[in-house]
Amino acid sequence: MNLSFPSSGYLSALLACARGLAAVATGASLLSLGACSQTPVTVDLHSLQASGKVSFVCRADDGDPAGHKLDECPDYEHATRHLLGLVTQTATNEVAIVDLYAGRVVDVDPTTPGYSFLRVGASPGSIVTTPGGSASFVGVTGFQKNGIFALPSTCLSAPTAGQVSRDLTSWSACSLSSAPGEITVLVDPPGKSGAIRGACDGTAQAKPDQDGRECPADLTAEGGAPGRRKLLVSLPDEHKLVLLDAQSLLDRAPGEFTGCAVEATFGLGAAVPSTPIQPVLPPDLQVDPATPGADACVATEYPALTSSEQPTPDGFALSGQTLYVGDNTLPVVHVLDVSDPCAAAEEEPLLPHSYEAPNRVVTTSRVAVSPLTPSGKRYVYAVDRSDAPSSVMVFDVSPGSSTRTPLVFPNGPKQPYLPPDRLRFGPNVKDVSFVQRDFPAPDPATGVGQYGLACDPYPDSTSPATQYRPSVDYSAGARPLNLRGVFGFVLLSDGHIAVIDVEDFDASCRRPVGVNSSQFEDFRGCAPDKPAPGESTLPASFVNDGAPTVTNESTCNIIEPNRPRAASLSVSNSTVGLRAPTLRSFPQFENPDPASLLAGNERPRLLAVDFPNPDPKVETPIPAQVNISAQLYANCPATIGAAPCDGTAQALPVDPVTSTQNSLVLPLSEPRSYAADESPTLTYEGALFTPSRTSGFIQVTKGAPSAILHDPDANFCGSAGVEDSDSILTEAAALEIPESGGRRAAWAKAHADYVQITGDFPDSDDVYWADLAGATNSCTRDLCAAEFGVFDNQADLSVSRDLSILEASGAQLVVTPRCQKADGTPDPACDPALVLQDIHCCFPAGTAYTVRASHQWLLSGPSGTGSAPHDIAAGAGGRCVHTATCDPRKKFFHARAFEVCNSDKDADPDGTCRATDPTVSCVASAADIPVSPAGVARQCIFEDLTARFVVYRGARASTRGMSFSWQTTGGFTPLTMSLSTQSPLPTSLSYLPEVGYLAVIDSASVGLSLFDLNSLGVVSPSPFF
Amino acid sequence: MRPLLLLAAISALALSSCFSPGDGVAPPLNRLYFPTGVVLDSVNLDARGAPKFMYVASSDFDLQYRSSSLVSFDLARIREVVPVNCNSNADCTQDGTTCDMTATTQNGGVPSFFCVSADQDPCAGAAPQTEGQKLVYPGRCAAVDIDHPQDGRSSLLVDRVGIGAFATDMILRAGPQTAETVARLFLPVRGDATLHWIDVGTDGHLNCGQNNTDDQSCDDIHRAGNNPLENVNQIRQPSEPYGVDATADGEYIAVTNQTTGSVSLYSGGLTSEGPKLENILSGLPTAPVAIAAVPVPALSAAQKLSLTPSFLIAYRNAPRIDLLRVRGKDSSDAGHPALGYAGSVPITVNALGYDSRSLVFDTDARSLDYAECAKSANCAAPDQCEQDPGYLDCAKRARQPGLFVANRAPSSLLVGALTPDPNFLAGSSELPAFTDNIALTAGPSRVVLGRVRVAALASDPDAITDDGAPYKLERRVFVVCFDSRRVFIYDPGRRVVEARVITGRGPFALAIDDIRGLGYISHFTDSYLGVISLDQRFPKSYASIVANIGVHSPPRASK
Repeated sequence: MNLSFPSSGYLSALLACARGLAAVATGASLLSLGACSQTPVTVDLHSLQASGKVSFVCRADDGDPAGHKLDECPDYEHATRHLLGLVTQTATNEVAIVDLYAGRVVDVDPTTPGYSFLRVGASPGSIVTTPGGSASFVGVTGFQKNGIFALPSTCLSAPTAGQVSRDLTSWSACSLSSAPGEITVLVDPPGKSGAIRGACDGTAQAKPDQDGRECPADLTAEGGAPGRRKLLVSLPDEHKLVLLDAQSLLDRAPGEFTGCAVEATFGLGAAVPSTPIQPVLPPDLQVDPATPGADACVATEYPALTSSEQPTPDGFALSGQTLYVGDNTLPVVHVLDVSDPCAAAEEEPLLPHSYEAPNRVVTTSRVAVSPLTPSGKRYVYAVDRSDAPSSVMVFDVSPGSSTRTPLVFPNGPKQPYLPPDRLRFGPNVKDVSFVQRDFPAPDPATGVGQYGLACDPYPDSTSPATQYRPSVDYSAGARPLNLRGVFGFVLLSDGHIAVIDVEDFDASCRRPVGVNSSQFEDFRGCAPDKPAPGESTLPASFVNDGAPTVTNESTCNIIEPNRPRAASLSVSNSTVGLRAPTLRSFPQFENPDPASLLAGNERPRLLAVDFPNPDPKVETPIPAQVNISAQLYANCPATIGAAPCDGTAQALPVDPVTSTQNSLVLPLSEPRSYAADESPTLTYEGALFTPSRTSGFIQVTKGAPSAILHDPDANFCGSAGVEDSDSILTEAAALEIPESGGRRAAWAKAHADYVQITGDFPDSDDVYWADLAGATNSCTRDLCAAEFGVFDNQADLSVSRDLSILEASGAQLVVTPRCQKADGTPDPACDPALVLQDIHCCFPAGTAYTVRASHQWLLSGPSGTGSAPHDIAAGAGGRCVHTATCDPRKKFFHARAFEVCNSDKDADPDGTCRATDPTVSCVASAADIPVSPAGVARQCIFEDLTARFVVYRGARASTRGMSFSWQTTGGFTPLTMSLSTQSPLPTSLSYLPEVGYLAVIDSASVGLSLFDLNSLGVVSPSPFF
Repeated sequence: MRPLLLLAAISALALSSCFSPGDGVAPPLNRLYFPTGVVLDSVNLDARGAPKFMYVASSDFDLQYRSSSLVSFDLARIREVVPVNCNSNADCTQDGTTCDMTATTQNGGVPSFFCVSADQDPCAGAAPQTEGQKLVYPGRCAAVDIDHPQDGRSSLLVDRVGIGAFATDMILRAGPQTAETVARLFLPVRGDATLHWIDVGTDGHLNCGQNNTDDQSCDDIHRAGNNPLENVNQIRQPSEPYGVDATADGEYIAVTNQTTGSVSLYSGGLTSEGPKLENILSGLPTAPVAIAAVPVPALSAAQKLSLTPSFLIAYRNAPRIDLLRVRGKDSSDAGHPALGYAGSVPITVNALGYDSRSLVFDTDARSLDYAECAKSANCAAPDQCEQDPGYLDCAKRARQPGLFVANRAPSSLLVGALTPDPNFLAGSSELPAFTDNIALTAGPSRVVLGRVRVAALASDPDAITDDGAPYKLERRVFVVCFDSRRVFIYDPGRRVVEARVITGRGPFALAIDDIRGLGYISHFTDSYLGVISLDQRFPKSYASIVANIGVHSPPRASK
């Protein structure tokens, strides 16, 4: 119901409490009060309040208002069967009825103002419906009001003539000894003789005691699988599950609330393993024992688990005769064989763990189990509730699978925004569900469609599966919005629902047209291709009669099982837009010193470099290529007929001698490496802290040449990635700086990061100058200004404020004055101890400072502040060390680029491009430039997950603050749906396969929303609220 | 419609709540008037460890008086006028009392399950409320008069003083220990933009240099922040102070300033001169309202030296939580303690994350883990594990303090903890991460930690048997929802909302009296206290208001 109200500050507070006619009356009052206001606003009035969960019922609305199976609804022909949603109302202890066919919320007592629903005895929790739709069961929790209420489908409406009002006494119910958690309906199947037992003790099924009832329910006669309906109920506080007979509960006299008759109890005895668990790691996360230093790495083995906690059942997921039960206290997901509900047997549990934090006790809340995919896979998704934010673990429970720990996915090192064994999003995960769907295309020959056919991309094929190929304009066939396959859906606390690729039937048609005929993965992440089934040779490309048979996306990894689904095609062209990793324009160079005009050859150059051939035995590189806006650029020595050098690409500049533009290339193997839009900056001697930190305290010992800078919150290792003169030796080794003659040590000293004090001295009227400095020191504010300069121009601070970092650890740096002149050359007159004494006097309180890279270029992080992802962390003793050797996830993390200088005289008029100069990293002659992947100075090629380039020094040395900046777009954007409210509190998610809708419950405002998986939009007239 | 008019009046007043002390009507010191602060005395305890006194600050929100008041309640007296719950006669241990568990004329046909005397009157002389009254003022019986309670005995009050108008919050810290003083109260007061400090004696009496006039007004010495000459930078407490918290030792006190986007730091909270305004950290988002001191880990004294005090701040206008750290005198030669910005985390656990009103820490889990670590390291207690590397390593892996935030966009309780980070000595960066959000009704405004009585077996090692049937105390998180008149009781162990207390209008401040199994909720709108039963042994009254303290006084605009 919508009403237009004048704008008023009180509306929102009042309307939160408003309901039904009472709310209308309130609104009318407000109308009169605010009649002078000129800006009417539309306010939605809500009939649902604090919705929790939903169960769906198919109910006849004719003379026999009984329940039906869900696939018997709706009945469009006669409109006698309506699909109802039963929505728990946790704040009002009711169950609301939403008639999806009629598109309205049902008022079960029209004589009372406002909406009335079905009242139950306490706050409703879980709600389930029997397979034949005859009755629904609601678990209620309240202090000493715990129990289960049975709602016969015959009374899921307003009372008819002659019936009394629906109230607590309308329902059969029973009490439980503690609060019920999840409930599921199990079917106790007929015995071998075909007889159905009425109780677990073997008592024969009797005729239900429903005669004369106003709300009868006979489960023995309902549709669905034959057998006795049982309710399996978790009692978390008692650490167990109990089994109840559903019909027996319905047979109780309405209005009573005596103890439930428990037929069986299951104690959940799964033991936590006491021996270490071996995770199954993909090859790219295994530490190569042959790697130097690998012996010092911590073994990638989950520790033995010990826990004295008792199991606490949480979410349920039923798949056939197997029930998965999350555990709120133990790191297990219980697995129960419920083929005989009366004798459910616990099997080996699944073992939730965290690859990132193996010591953390991972507990689970909601769980979901997928259908068996056409390729024979089945997965359990379990919400890791103790993760921050809560995330989703994936277990492989396929037939024959013996893995019990969460799957650790390949390509983890290339997906910096996702843990390798988790689906994690910014907001918390509230619920998970699976959807399996297909639209079988009829076989032209037989007219019969086959479910689950994988798209056939092979150009010469004529199989029915070729019908799933994408159309040229992407309006049909394989594409992101065409959900054909098995997909996971993850409900997030911000009201979004993320789509997860489990098994996309169209995955084989989502790729580049090029064929990878080598034996190695190429730079687009394409694995070696195989010929079509029954063929022996590869096609030249995935093109048929000039039209691609695939989407021609930039990468082969746009779809990865159990990873978030992309919202768009990874294609950049004028038709689709910029959806693949793409440069918006050529990188721009900026010199912060406007007085220093540089000629073209004096500037440093940022330039693309070819990709190495995936086959290490082949030296011929793959031409550098990149999309700049919608145009492809490539480094093609000649038109050779094959993409990208087939005449379609424009020339990509790579040679610093001839190029006038800067450039770089974007690695394409993993689209999930890229955020949607990024604006990186590569800065010479860039700052690790932007803005400066304001809380550095410098501790100076009189006469000592070094001092300690304290900052307990700086996290110099983990967050900033500070390189001291020890840790940067790792970079020196990678750059092949020789150790002989102390060259590597000298290089390390020159390249270690340095502290730059960016703060001011105490104010001139500060009592410090009169009291402390005047009494104990000889410095004055004027002297401080003379030595350390003013701080007004942050881009031009005095070099006397620079302190080289000798040792870096989490909260402190050991520093010594850098002792350089303004031109960067050493200052022989500098006495470190005296400089530190002056710093001690001039910066007595906490001072602002930053840390800068030295004689190198620093790549900024995605947000434009600090450095890009790096592999530095606190090691033994707290010192900052490189960890990529032991942590393969950081293999591609780089933030620092080292220049290549041209040693030819024209390019180096000062003669400073010498390998013996500790400030120089890579030297190449003119013949070796441009740098190639296998050539001289190849070690100075920079490549991380989102950029590949070489920085060439200009004829004049680079100076602090010079920068290159560029913009990328077309990064990975996950496919999501969204609740139509700004401030949701989503609580649960479920799939209604009979109508193909995804149902989402929002506790705050929009109640029940139904999503159409064809459009990924909310189905009108939902949301119901 | 009265609620509408009431809201209109309150909001209008909120817009014009500037106050300058001056002449006017003296505030009544024997009643509550828009009460905003409720604090239990954690220093003056009886033999059972229950607090003897409770302090309630009023705010004079509608400017009817020239200032406001702070009163000291005798909790033993309150216990005497609050009905005793029962399930059977066995629960009524006082002579001559029985359990009112059958329908009688005296109970109007509805058993109260209160212990009653021979007259069978469940309200013990107070009039029973009508059903209509109960809708507005939940509770079976009429309110208890503070100065002249219906039992005919002494006043419930111990002492009363006058404070500035518009006190917004109140905390108590133990000390300074003198002959007259055992604890000190701190109150941000918006009316004169000061931090009031009031000493508490062993007998619950209050001392703030009151002037012995009709309003017993605190003197200027006990109003910190309004004298720029008391600090080196000649700063003054900004207007609209709102939230307050202090380090456990009372040395540093931080006050949020809601209109200026700043936080004031006071030092020397327990000195004889009182707290001194040292520094104002500005440049923060506007409307910082929620503040909590980060609990200090139980490490050795030597280790603690490297841990500087810190506070977490949350905002109405920004979806984030900031960590502010005190740079003490020891950190610098300049000698000015100052508050510095140390870090921030966005609130992404719910849809918008704006409008956080209150936050509270729960250190139970960490304390348990520390005790286990000490046991493993063969230390008697964590504080005695001097530089024991085994203990230090173990303590670093201890569970971090839980954090609960009352957030309004949407209305929810955010559940999290300080983020584990082995890069730091105590195993955390002291910035929080959130794992859950619990749906609430409109207007969460305050979150409070406490314990409730839960029935236990006598054989339970934690069982307490000092008050009838065995019980034990279990941790709960209480969230006050001002707009929807609810107090949610959240069980952090089971991660469920256990109960919802329906309150009167404008529930504001809440204090939990664990030992007595009671909660005290101040009702801002109608100026009285509600007493909530928090004893699960008595299910018929658990999580409901069983008594009202102070005559209900609707705002003038709604009369």
